[in-house]
Amino acid sequence: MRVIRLLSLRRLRLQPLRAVLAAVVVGAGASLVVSLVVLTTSLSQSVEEAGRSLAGPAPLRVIGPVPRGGVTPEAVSAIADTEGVESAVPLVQSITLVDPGERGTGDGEEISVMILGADCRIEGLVGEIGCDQEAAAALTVAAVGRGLADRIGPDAEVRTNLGRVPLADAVRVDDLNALNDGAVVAFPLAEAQRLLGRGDGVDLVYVVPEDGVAVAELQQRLERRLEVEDDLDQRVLDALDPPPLIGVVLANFLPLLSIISLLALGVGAVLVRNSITLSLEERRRQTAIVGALGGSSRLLVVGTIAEVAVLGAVGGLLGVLGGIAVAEPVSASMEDFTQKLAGIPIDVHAGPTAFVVALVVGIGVSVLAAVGPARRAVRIDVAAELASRGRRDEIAQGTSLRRLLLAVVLVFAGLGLCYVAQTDGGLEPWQATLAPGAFLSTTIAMVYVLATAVPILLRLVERRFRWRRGSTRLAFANLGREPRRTGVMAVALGFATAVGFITASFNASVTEVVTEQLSRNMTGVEVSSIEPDFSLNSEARLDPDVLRELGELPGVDRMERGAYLVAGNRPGNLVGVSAYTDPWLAGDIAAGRHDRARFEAGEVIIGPGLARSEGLRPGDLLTLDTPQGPVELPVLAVDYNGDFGGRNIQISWELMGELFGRSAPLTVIVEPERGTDDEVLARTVLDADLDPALQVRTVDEVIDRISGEVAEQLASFEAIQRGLLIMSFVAVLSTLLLVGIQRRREFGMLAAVGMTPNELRRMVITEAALVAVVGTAVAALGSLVQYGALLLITPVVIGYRNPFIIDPLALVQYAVVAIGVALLAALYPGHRAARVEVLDALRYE
Amino acid sequence: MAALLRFEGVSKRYSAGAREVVALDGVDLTIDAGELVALVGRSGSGKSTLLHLAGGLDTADSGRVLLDKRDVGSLSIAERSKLRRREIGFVFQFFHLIPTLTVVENVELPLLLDGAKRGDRGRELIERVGIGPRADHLPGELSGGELQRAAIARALVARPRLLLADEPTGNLDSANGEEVLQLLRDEVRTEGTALLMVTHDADATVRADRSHTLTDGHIS
Repeated sequence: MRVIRLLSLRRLRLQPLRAVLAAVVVGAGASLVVSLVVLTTSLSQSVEEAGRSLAGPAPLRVIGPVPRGGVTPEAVSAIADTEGVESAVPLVQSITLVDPGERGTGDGEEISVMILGADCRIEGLVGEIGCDQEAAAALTVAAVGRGLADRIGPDAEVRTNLGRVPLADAVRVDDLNALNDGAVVAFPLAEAQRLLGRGDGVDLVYVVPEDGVAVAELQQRLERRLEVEDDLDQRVLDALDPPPLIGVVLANFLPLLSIISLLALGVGAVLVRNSITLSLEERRRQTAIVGALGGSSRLLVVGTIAEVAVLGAVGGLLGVLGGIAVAEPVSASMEDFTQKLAGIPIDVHAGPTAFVVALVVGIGVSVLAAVGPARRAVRIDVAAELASRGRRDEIAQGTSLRRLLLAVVLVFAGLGLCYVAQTDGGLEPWQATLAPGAFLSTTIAMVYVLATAVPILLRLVERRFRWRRGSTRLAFANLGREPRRTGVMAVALGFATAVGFITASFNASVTEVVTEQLSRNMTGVEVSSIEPDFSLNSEARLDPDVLRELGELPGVDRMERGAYLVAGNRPGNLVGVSAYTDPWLAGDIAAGRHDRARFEAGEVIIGPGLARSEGLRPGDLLTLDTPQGPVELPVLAVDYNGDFGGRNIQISWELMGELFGRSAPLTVIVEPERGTDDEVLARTVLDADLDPALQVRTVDEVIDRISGEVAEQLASFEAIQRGLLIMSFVAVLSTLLLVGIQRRREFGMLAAVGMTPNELRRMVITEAALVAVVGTAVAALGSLVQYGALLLITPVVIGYRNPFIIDPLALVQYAVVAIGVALLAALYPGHRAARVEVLDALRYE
Repeated sequence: MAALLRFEGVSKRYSAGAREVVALDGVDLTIDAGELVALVGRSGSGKSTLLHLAGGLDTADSGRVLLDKRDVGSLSIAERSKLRRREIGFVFQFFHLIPTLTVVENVELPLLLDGAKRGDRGRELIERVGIGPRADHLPGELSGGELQRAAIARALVARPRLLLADEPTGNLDSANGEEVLQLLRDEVRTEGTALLMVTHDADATVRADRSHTLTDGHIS
């Protein structure tokens, strides 16, 4: 151990810059993986905290087949009567908006709040509060949390399906502050059921067991009881289980983030491998002396691995900081969704798991990356090395055209698999499994193409043009003859460019589809009283009076209504159900056909995710959970529709009313009479001043709005892209610095034979610039192929089919940024090279 | 014959921890064009320091080093670099070839740094020093003698007026050392270059036009 400490670990202390660089490299690689852990932990802990705040002592809760009013009074009674249940607390729990009024604090913007309905049975959760059941039932006044009360004025109103309800007489209840940071409005249960259109149903029932009753046992007993009492699909959840819809959030974010994290970690591992190789290369003489003195190979390998493990541990801990930094913007994007969905704010938690994962990843990746170079290092010719004849390893590795060709073949093989994954609509389960794997393998092969093509291209460029400047010629020579290092820098820069370009192009493609669909099908103006992206679970719907008045405005021909709800109560069986009074039936068809008559007669159009998971094809029967129990509906067609992860159903307006009842719409399309312009109609609606929150959008504005939403959803990938740019910076900086350390004697020699400090600096910066320019050029071509692969699998993975539309400006923009990052990263290594002390460097060994 | 290199009362001190080491103490030395001068002395006597001052790799604490009447110490770092590139050739004991460049690329390096177009000069010199078949090999593939020949070719490629050699045979066996000495001598004669050579090798002093001994920073 002492020998290892002397030979390996002391190096870390004596060469702090190198140690810091290696640790930073590991940290950069680990940070994206850690960010995944931080995100999942943050989400689950935030959900748990929210659940705990509401549930109090209740370890169980029951939800119905649909989230809105899915638990019937019979089910509530059955739960309360079940043996071992101390109390059953029915609740209406949803999301809406509060208008803070003119005298409220802040900028007057509406506040997103949790809306609750409860009766005296709430004492089962919060303890005795002297509640009188009869008096409570007669109440209509609301209670608000302190967090909300502090922000609203006396003229504040809460939005409900029946219109605005004043909060002037609302009671301030400090205990509600434990929920959604106090942004809560609570009504007596009956009033909440009336205002939110729940009929006599509730959204969920919290269950407090009697003393001494095992929770798991009670959970099973409740499931059995509900199954017998009622054929509705009631589900008994652990109180800390997330709402099923939260699973949708993770499903949206995690898969692509995981792929990018793995690739980033791969780049990090290669960087570590490079730095270890350099470090070992540098101590060849020491290795030879130790070998000559009888040091075993094992000692050298173990010593190197110990050294690397220390660096990996430090890098892993740095990765926690990086992971939190990456997780912050992504969690903000997720929070936007979870707050609107379930009133759950997300706080970033870096729990012990994140630290453990960071250490395991940091140490594991570093050690794995170091084993090869360490084993190679101990195979040196000791005698030759001691006689200074052993520099064989400095013979540069040749670039291999064969390897490049192999990588290109693998890319095309991956593309082929992507193509196979989407044939015949991509509706088979194996295709869903194949698609991400095919995309990942294409990406890995493309990374390899980038790593191998750039050094080869640099050599071609070097030969093709007669470069006059010595520093430029040397820069070419260095890069061409050190292909691995060149490849690592190229991959780091090219990857960031490609992610930025693909994200922007995907955005452009989606926008094109939206524009085309809306321009072709939508006539009139869209009217809503909330931001349309805040629609899934919101109770702030269009006021019935407003709707009536809207229909009576001059120039209005008719109103098209839409309804959207979620059915199911498990992450695996949730489906989004939509219906429109005048459906467009204009989506891309994966299977079947659009027959309007059969659709109006009750057949349904389903999304590809649902078709795949349930094995449904046109002509089959779909079972759909409704408040009245499951119903069977014939499938008319499968559309490329990615809403709700492809688990969606479009049914006729009539059928929606029959199965789920009528609820106030979130949005309507107001169509003009013949001869009335959309702009004029929009102005008429706004001038009528029917509701202060009313929003009116023409077709172009709807397109802008949806494009903005898409851009917002892709914002997390932009955050990752920025993270990758930082990683590129670290990659170029560390590689050039480490190479600079290794080439110190070479720099000294160059200075000795007449290279000026400026030329040395220029040589290093030129190396970075050449890698950046050629790397981003190759990445640009590669990203076109990758983008093609992505578009092939999107119908399978996301559910939509998008055209191949690129954003060339984004490519230029990200390439310029990547080149700038490379040049910035090269400044310090260039500066160090220029400051080389010739005599010291020539003595340097 | 006009003096090409002149040391006038040159002194150089180093601090080694708390101790001050006098490497050169008021050294006067003149070398004419076409002259081969050997400098001998024990380890630590200041030989390499004198060579480094002559090449502008270091500057004197006092006195002047004049190359063709130009005070090397008064030149900027960049000017000294250009001076080495165009007028001085270095041959090191440990060759100091760049491992990632081929022999011909290493030899052409000073021309390359000057932005000169690629010509035949490098290959001609490689042929002349007897390693023609190794021109496109990398340094790692050459023997010690071949490496030093390549280093000599590199030192000569820019047709320098002054050649500085630091123990050029110190890392070679006797046969190779003999050949390298002969080569240096021939090149000095052919090109009219002045050669200042630091050496421990008694044979080398015999082949020199004159030799000096450095003892504790003093030259005799």
